[in-house]
Amino acid sequence: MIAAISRCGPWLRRYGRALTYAGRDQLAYPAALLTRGVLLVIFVFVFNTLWRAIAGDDGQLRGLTVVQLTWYLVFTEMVELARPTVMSEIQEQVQDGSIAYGLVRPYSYPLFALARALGQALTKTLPIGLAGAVVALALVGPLPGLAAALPGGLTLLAGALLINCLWLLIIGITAFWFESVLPFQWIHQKLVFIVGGMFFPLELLPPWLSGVAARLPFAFQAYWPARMLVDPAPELFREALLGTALYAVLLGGVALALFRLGMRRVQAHGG
Amino acid sequence: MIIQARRLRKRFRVRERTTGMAGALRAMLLPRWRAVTAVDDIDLDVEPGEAVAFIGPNGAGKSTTIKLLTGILQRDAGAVSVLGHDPQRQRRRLAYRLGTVFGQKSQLWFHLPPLDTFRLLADVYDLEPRQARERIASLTEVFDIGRHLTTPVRKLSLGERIRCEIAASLIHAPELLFLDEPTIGLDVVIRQRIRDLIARINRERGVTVFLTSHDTGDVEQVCRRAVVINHGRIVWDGAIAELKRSLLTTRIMDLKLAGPLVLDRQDVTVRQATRYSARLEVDTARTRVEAVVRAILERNSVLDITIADPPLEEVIAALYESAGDRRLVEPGQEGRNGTP
Repeated sequence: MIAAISRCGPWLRRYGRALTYAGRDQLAYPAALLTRGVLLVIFVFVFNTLWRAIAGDDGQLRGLTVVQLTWYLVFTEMVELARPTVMSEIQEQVQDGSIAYGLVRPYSYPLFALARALGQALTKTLPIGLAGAVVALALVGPLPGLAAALPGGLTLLAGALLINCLWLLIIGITAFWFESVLPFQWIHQKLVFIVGGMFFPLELLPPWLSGVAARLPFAFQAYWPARMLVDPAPELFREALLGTALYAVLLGGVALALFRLGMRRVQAHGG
Repeated sequence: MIIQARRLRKRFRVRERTTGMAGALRAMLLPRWRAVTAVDDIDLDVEPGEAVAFIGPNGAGKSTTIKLLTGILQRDAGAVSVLGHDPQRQRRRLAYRLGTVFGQKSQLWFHLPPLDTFRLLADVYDLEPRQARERIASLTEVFDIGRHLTTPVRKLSLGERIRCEIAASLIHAPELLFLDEPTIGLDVVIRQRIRDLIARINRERGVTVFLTSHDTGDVEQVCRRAVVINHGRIVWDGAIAELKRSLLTTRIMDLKLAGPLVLDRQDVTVRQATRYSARLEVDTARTRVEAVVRAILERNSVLDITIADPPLEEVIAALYESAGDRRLVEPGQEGRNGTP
């Protein structure tokens, strides 16, 4: 066991350092972080106004209060607005051939890219969350039961960031076959918006659709972590954690397999 | 041999583009492909400790060859061994023993100081922390970058950055260093400093240098051997001095005179002349330099005379023009033609 851990040491150090450096690198763009924070403030304000307008006399929508719905949006946007640049980076590198420079190192290119993406996402998500929390507190006050929900909810939130990074990594890798991968990212994003529960919990969808949507990978990067934070349920947490882990493994495997296939299509650029 | 390639070949399929809307639609529905042979049956041998310039015009196959040698691209035919590894099958194991510098692509993190990239690379190459500290200290001294180690890369000048780039590529003490246009965009002074540093690494540390550059100063001052590639084929492989002497049958003669030059010979071209100096080009295929010197001394009062090979860029330009897709060395002879 100890031998296995010590063998993992250099591996963890390598990708761990890439993750922390990517985070620090991200701090060089405070204006970008601020812009995303402002965007979230606008979103929360607009949706809060909408929830207040359509909530019933009891101030609820399908069993969720306006307070919960408002905070729910803050948590889902913490993942969406913390989107890293991994997809566009890979696309550019494949298109101009500079991906070759990353392939002369003795590391796994997709894992290194994933570590960088996670570093970026983690750094972005904290100030975005802070901005969201401030506006939510101002509009609806504190979220009841948040402290108890934090351990499980934050675990799922970290998983959601990982799944989002994996999707972007996979979409970026498809640049080996497609000249522009932006349409795929657009489709993925819209699926997260609609069946992933980005703007509103899946309970607001028709029951037949919400049941299916809750089991799709898109829900594990928006609905599940936010739902567990606003309305924790231990029995559902286990289900959400298992789904997150399964999809992370599945998407990670797809990314590695696709990259291996894509490597055969690396072209020489520059003569 | 540190590099050994035999009948190495790489072909690409390139999609043909047509202009106009109809052409774009046709290309989408019925794409047309064209085969391009980027590397065409080349043989290459490089000994440990050599400094080899790998040169050629744009699109000649230089990058493709380097990518085949580093295992980034998969070959279509032939055999390659680099440091005893098959680059295609053992790319990661080989990577521990290779260093790369790409002048047009930075490996340093833009917003972080170079020291951070050094530490990350030390982790990437599995160096022990103590070993990493020692290597960084040693490279800091050689490249004189102590003042820049903790400055964000974006605030460094290009020359300072390139010094850090080369130092970064040597963190893991590679045995073979690939340099692709390492002095591109640098001013004359910094360019010279980088050349000196590369030559020093080759001389003192025994690192084999494989240099690609369009700058003939890099080629002449760092390398003793040149391999010239054109249309995917090696058209010359030998000592740089030999390349100059055997490919251009001219010598450049610079004269300082007491008065205007008096000379009437068909085998000499006056390239430039003033009242007290002249630059002549002697066609050694038609006459001997000695005969020209004697003729000049007979009719002129000469204060000084210098005879030199033509500039390397002229040699290379002539080589590209004359060789075309014809080989000046026969298959199987590469790596031996004039190699020191």
